[in-house]
Amino acid sequence: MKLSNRRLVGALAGIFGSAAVLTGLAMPAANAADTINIISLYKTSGGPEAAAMKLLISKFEAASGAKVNLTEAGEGLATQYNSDLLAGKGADLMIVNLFDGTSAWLENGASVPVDGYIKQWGLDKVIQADALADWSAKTGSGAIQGFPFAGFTWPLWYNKSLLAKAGIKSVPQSTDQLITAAKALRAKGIAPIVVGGSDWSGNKLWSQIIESYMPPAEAKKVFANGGYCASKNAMKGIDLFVKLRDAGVFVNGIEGYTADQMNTAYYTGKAAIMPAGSWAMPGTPPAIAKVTEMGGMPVPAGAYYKKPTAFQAYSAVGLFVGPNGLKKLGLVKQFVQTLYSAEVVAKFVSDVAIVPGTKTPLTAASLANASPLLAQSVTVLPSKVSYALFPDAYVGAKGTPLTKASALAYGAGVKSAAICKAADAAYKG
Amino acid sequence: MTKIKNEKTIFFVLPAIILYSSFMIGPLIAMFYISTLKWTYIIAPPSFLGLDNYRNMFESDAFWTALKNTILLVATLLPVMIPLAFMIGYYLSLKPRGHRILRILMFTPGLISMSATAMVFFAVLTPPGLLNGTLNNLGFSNENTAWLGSTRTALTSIWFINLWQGVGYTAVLMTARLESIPREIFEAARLDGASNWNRMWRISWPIILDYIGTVTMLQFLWTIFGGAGLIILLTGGGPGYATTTLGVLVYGKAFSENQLGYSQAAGVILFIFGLLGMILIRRFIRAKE
Repeated sequence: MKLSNRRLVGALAGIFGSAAVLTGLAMPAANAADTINIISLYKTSGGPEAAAMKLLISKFEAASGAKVNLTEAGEGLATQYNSDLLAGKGADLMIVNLFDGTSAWLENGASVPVDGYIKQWGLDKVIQADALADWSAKTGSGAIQGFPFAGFTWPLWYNKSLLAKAGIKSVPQSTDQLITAAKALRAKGIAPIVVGGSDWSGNKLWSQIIESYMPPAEAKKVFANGGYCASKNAMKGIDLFVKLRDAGVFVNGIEGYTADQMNTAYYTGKAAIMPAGSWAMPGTPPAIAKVTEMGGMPVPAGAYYKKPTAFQAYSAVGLFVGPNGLKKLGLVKQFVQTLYSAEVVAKFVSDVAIVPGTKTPLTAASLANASPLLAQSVTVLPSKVSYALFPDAYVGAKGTPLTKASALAYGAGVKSAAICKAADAAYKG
Repeated sequence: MTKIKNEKTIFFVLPAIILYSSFMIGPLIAMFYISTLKWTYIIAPPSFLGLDNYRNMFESDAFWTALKNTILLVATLLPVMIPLAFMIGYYLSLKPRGHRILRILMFTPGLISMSATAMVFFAVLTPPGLLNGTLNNLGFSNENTAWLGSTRTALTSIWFINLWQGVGYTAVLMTARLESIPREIFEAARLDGASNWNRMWRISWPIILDYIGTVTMLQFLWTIFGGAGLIILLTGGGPGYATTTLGVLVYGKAFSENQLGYSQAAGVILFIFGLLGMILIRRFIRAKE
């Protein structure tokens, strides 16, 4: 009996002892003073940003003597960070876009406002005013949610060679011209506009079209609070969307497409037009890039915007500071300064086609190594388009249900009333 | 001697009881409590709301659509899947030629991860995917149907994927039970002139009815709880709320919309739905026995 009790106690001690050792081994050295913990959308392998990220990290480590403990996360970054924070192990810095879950960080204490540091560290001379405005838009109080880094342009890409095949000599400027062009393209078996109708890319184009009649102030209100059915101008925009859809300007089955399929259809010359951001430029096959003209989404008669619209914003990627980062402000400052250094910014411009949030002038020389499409979209495009309000900062956590509403909108036969009802429902319980 | 043995038994099951209480009962109680809170973000401090989450939920189209979709999915899927699985299981229990390979093939969908299943069916059902390509080549259609993107076909597509995923696995379970029935019963029936069809439905089915009840309950629970993962990966619950079920609503409200209290209110309804479903299935099976 005594022997069996001893064996039992020994077994239990062994189990709990092993568990304690394994737990200790599993815990990262997160709190070392010479380590900075970063969770990042940008990766060090497998993407166009890999080399630029490696440059950033190596420069920082060389200058500071500190180590970067990098966690690479995908779309679930916000959820992963939230869980880490709850466990007391939130990252010091978060490299991610300002969208959906991340835009709610500041108001919930998951990140700290950085406006004070921007002034203290002299970064107001480094960062563009428009970029700072984008990163403080939602707060309304002037509090800046993070250090803006990467911006984007988001024009419509027109394959001139496919347009020419259909007898279209120039990029359509009005929605009537777009409908005519779509008919001509279909007659030649070419898909007109392709977009990810089921996901975020389709949601952005949908937002862009319904904004056609809305002044920015009204668009901000509607995107932030809903009320699509009650807004005359939003309803006009939804009617316009339905008109374009029913006129066949979108590829067949658009409601089932994703952003990846959109890129594939355009890159392989199956579709003539796609709305895509500058992040898609590095991956564009040279033959397609050569025949692509950047333009805007055509506008109807009586629109608020006088030229075709495009998006431009600085919310693509920025640097949030977590509450744990406040304990390592010295390292945070050094990392931010390294991120904004000319060499790192130039590398991201050339490899990732970002529009930098810094006041770095994008000259021909700095664009020489970047995609020719980026050069076109920052030098030629601005004179051809009006920039519509980019909705993300205002939509916030309603991004996902609103995307389901816009996915519904792309379906054949769905009426305007059903679309506005679905959009308004995204803001309710 | 017996008293000492009982004390020792309690000592050995105590860790399991503690674990079960912590990870099963604890979260269940927490779910009810959180459903009464306004909790907009996981690290934000919650405040007490009473029954307002339930009020908002019952007033929302999203909830009623989710409830309708859940009932529709379960009520149409199980009456097809279970008899189909039983028939396939019966066939396998006859040990036809190649039955071992057939069993492996039947069981394989149950071994494929949810994300792999979603990727495969996305490639099949997407507009430029395999299904449209096959239909177009065979001349049945020249459309680019968005099977997962259209309100007319999205839920039906999810239904078929659930059927594909569950029928083979359930059939193999049925086979295992059917093989434990004494062979003499079937021999006797065969000698009496009973056909395979009669042996299947008039002998095998009643004998294993209790087991069928258990398997049905498991499949019911998988469909309402586990099936949400597949929907989230394939359609996100869209377009609109066309494929949103209660399970998808619980996830979406918590992780996409930062409404944890509302999410758990939906979770409570899902829990009640699950309980009621299990009771109904049990009663149905008992009535048949």
